[in-house]
Amino acid sequence: MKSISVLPKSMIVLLSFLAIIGLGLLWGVIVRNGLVQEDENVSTAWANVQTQYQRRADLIPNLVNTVKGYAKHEEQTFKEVVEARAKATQITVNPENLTPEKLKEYQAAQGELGSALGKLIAVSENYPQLKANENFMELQAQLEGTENRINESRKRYNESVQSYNVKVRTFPSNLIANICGFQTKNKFEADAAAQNAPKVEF
Amino acid sequence: MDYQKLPTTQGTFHFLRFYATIKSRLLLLFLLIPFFCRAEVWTPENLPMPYLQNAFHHVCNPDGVLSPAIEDSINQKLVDLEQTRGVQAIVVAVERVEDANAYQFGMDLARKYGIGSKKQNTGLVIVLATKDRKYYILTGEGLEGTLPDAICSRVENRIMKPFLKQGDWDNAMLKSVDALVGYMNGDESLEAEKEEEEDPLVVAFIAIFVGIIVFAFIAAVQPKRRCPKCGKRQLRKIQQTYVKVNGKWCIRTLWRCSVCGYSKYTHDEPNNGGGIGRNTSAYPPLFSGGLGGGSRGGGGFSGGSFGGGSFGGGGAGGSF
Repeated sequence: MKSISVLPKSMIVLLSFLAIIGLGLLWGVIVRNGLVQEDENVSTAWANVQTQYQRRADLIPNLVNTVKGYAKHEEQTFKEVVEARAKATQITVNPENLTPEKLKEYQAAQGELGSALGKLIAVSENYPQLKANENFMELQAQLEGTENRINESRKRYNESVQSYNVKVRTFPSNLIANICGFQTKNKFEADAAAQNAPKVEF
Repeated sequence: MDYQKLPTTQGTFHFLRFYATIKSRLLLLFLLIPFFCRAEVWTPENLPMPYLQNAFHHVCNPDGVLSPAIEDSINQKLVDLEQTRGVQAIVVAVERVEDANAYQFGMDLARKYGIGSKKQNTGLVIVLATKDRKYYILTGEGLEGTLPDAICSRVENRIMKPFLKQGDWDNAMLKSVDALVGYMNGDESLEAEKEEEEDPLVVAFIAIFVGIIVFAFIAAVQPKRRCPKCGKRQLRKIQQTYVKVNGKWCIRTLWRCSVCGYSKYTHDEPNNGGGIGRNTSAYPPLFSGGLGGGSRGGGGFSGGSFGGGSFGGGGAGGSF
């Protein structure tokens, strides 16, 4: 029986070539969508970090006022806290321009606020009446909870960045990442304040 | 001579017996040491989680810190809470936790199991470590509105801490749970998660589909027998009914050959516990298990499962 060749050989080659390109494109689109998803996760995690820092900043006026009621002679500490808060709340970073410098700046400002708050709490230890005040105790609990939330949100942000970076840098998804302009993102590093033992000044 | 010797031998004998008892006692003592020194430092990994075996056990009390009556009472309250408000709460009362850090322990525990539903994130973990003298109430992300840190702290300072200072672990936990449950019951926005309702049409479709498959399966595995008329192996069971024959209940089976249309009834006694050799007639044995339908295996309690809720670090704690 004579075989009926519907397509010439060159046509078959061309068609399989096109099919491979089509599959490649499909794969590229899927990988790109995955990267977009990861990118969005990082943005969400970053927004959460900022929310938690903002939450801390919102607590401060109330806390300062409560402490002021009992510890009138700690003007210097109050001033430091208020200034650090003003500085920290000025800096907001969009997830689009999370450059290492910006992240460092943000972290430094928040770290400063953190240490100023630490001083405020340390000062309040000297006032037994303040320590026994229920309002103050609850504010302190809120502050502690907020610090925990900040740590947790930073941890989650770092995790999402890690997962994103792995995708951007590993073969073969790095090909698509390069073509579409996805770049690695920066993680939070351990606070300088957390690494150095706190200075005790007399 | 003999009289003089006797006491010594008896003495040796007594000594040996005494030694043997001491030895077994010592051995027993060594075996019991783990029970005496149960100062286990619990981690999220080694802490037994009874909730997984039994959804009515919300309390982890491996060191026996809480009395059984209080444990039951707390369990009951938390079961009610889960049913009415959809809050999945776990109470851990132990002597020591890892690094004496009740917060980190509770957080890791919540993360490991995913306490609280994934949709609402309403998980609650209460940790008490009596020998570390630490406590912590951790709220899931969906509970932070109902139980803000300040409220958790208030419950701890007003209720939990005074009892803890007296060493009254039972009341510390019971009264704190009462107070927290009170706050949660006051929040109308908390709702037990409803089972996802299926479209009745879809359900009917699935039921019909499954029914057809089961029917086809049963029909396929029905034994076929050789037809006495045409000799083809196409004699099938068509119908089974109970009938009374000579005052005795029998199972009447209708057989039909799908090739030549030959049909026949057979009568068998129901084989409830009967011997195997009873149905060795020319006709096939009846399907065992009877027509009454088997009972579903069960008994005991069903285990609970955690929904994968997330904790963002909310809550409050302290030391006493």
